[in-house]
Amino acid sequence: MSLAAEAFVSQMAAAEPWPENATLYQPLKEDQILLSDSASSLAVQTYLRMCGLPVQVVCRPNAEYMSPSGKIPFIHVGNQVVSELGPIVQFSKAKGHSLSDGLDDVQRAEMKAYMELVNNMLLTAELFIQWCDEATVSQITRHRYGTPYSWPLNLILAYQKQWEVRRKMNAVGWGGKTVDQVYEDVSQCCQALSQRLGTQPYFFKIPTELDALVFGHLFTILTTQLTNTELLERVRSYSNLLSFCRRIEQTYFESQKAGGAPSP
Amino acid sequence: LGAQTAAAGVLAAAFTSSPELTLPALGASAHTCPLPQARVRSDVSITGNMPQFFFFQKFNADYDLSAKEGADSLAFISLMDEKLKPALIYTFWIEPKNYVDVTRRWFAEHLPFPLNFFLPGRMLADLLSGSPTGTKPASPLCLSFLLQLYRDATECLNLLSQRLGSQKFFFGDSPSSLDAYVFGHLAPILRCKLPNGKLQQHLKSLDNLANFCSNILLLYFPRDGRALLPVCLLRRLQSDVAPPAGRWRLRQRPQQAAKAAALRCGGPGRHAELRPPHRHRVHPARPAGGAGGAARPGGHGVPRRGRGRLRTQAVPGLEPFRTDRV
Repeated sequence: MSLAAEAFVSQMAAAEPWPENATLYQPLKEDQILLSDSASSLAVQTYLRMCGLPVQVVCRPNAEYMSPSGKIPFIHVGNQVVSELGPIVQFSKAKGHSLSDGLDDVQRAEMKAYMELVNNMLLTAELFIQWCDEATVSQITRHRYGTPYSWPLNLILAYQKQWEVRRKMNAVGWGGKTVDQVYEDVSQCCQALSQRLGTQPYFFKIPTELDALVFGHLFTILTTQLTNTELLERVRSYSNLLSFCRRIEQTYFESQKAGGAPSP
Repeated sequence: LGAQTAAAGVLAAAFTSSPELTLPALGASAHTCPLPQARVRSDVSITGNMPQFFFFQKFNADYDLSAKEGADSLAFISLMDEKLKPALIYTFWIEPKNYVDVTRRWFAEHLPFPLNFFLPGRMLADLLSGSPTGTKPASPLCLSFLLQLYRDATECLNLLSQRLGSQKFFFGDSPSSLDAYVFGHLAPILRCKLPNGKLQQHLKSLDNLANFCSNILLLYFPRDGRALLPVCLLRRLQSDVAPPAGRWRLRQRPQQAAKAAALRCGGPGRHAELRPPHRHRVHPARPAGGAGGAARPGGHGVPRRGRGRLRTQAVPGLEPFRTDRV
C-alpha cells in the first residue's frame, strides 16, 4: 500500500471503534488447516484476546483466496479486511488498542527483532516441514490441503502450493537444507527465546504481540500430530517455554468459556 | 554477498594478526564457489561460513556475551536478513542507475577479459533467482513494492539505531559478531557513492549508526593510523575522468588510475574476492590491516589485473596509495 493510501486507511480505521461483529477467517479446522496457518491464526487470536477485542472465528475452505495478501488469517472489521499479524497490530493500534505502548525504544526494537526471528525461523521451519519433507507432504499435507475439493483439483492445488513453497525456500536459502538441519534451527530459535524469557512471566513486563506470536507457534507445534515427534520433543525440552504456553493458555483461553479451548 | 564478506573481514581483522590472511580471487570459479572466500596461510582456504571457521579455530567474538545477549544477536540478525537485505540487493543490483553506474561497471573493470562481459549479468540473474525480490510475482518494480521495501529498510535502520543508543558497540565496549554483521551490511551503503542513494541518506541521518561504522573502520581497518576520510568521495570529485578506452592497457595513466581507485573504493566492498588468480598478482599479500579489505572504502590497495602496475598519483591532502604495496 502506498503511503497516502495507508494514511487514509489508518484515518478511516481510527474513525470507528472496534465493532462487535469482527470476524477472523481461517481454513477448516478439522480437515484442512495446516500447521503454519494454524500457528499464525492462533497468534492473531491470542493477540486480540490480549487486547480485549472480541472476534469471531469463522472457518471457510477458501479463506486463503479471500485474504488480501494470500496469507492466513485475516480479519474482517467493519468494511476493512486486514491479513497477517503485523498489519493487524498496526490496524488495532490505529483504533487505539496497543500492547506495546509501555515499552521504551530499546525494548520495542528488541520486540520487533524477536518477532522477525520467530517469523524467520519458526514459521519457515514449519513451512519447510509441511511442504518440503517428503514423508509429511505425502502423508499429511497434500491430503489435508485439497480436502474441500474433488479430484483432480485437490491434487493440482496441492502440487501448485508445494512448488510455490519450494521456490520460496530456495529464495531464502533453505532449499538445500535437510530436515535435521531444520530441526536444529528450530532448537536454536527455541533456545534463543528461552534464554530471552528466562524466568519472567512474559518477554517484557507486560504481555505484548511477541508473546502472542510465540504462544501461537509453540502451542501449535506442541499440540499438532505430525509424522514423527522430533519437533515436539525439541520444543518440549525447554521447560520455561512450556510453562509460558500453559500460563497464556490459562489466562486467555480457559478463563473465557465462550472461547473454549484454543483450536490448533 | 559483500555484506557477508565485510562481516567476515571485520571478524578476521579483529582476531587474526596473520599477515598471510588475504582475500584472493579465484578468477572464473569465484562465482560458482560459495562466497566469501579467504585464504589463510596459503594452504588453508575457507569458503562459505567464515564465522564458523573462526569458531573452530578457538576464536569467538561472542565469548563475553550473556545468554540473553546471544539471543538478541540472533534476533537482530534475523531482523536484518528479513528487512534490510532485500533493500540492499535492490539498491546495488536491481536499481538501474546504481547497477549500471556502480556495480556492473566495477565488476566489468576488475574482471579479466572476456568474463567482464557476461559475469556481472550472470551474478545478477543468480541473485534475482535466489533473492526474495525474485519471488515476487508479476512486476517486482512496481511502486508500492518499492515503497514497502524502502519502508522496511528504514524501519530496520531505525530499530538498530534505537538498540545501539549511545553505546560504542551493541553489547558494551567490545565488539561481537552482531557488530560485525551490522557493519558488514551498513558500510557498503554508507561508503559507496551511489547515484540513487535514498537509503544512504537515511542512514547518514542516523548519527549513531554512522559513527558506529566509522568507529569500526578506524579501529579495525586502519590506514597508517590516519583517520579515514571519505576518500572515495573526494577522489571521485577530483578525478572525474572517463574510463579507460581499452581495458587491456599495460600501463595506466595517473588520472585513470585514480579514477579506477575511486571506483574501487566507491565500488561495493564485496567484490574483493573477485580478483585475478594468483599468477597475476604483482605484489605480496597485504598485512592484517588489509585483511578485511572487503569493506574498505579507501580502496583495497590490491587492485590487481594482469594489466601491469597501477601507478597512482598521490592526491594532495589525502592519504596516498602506498606505492610499495602496489
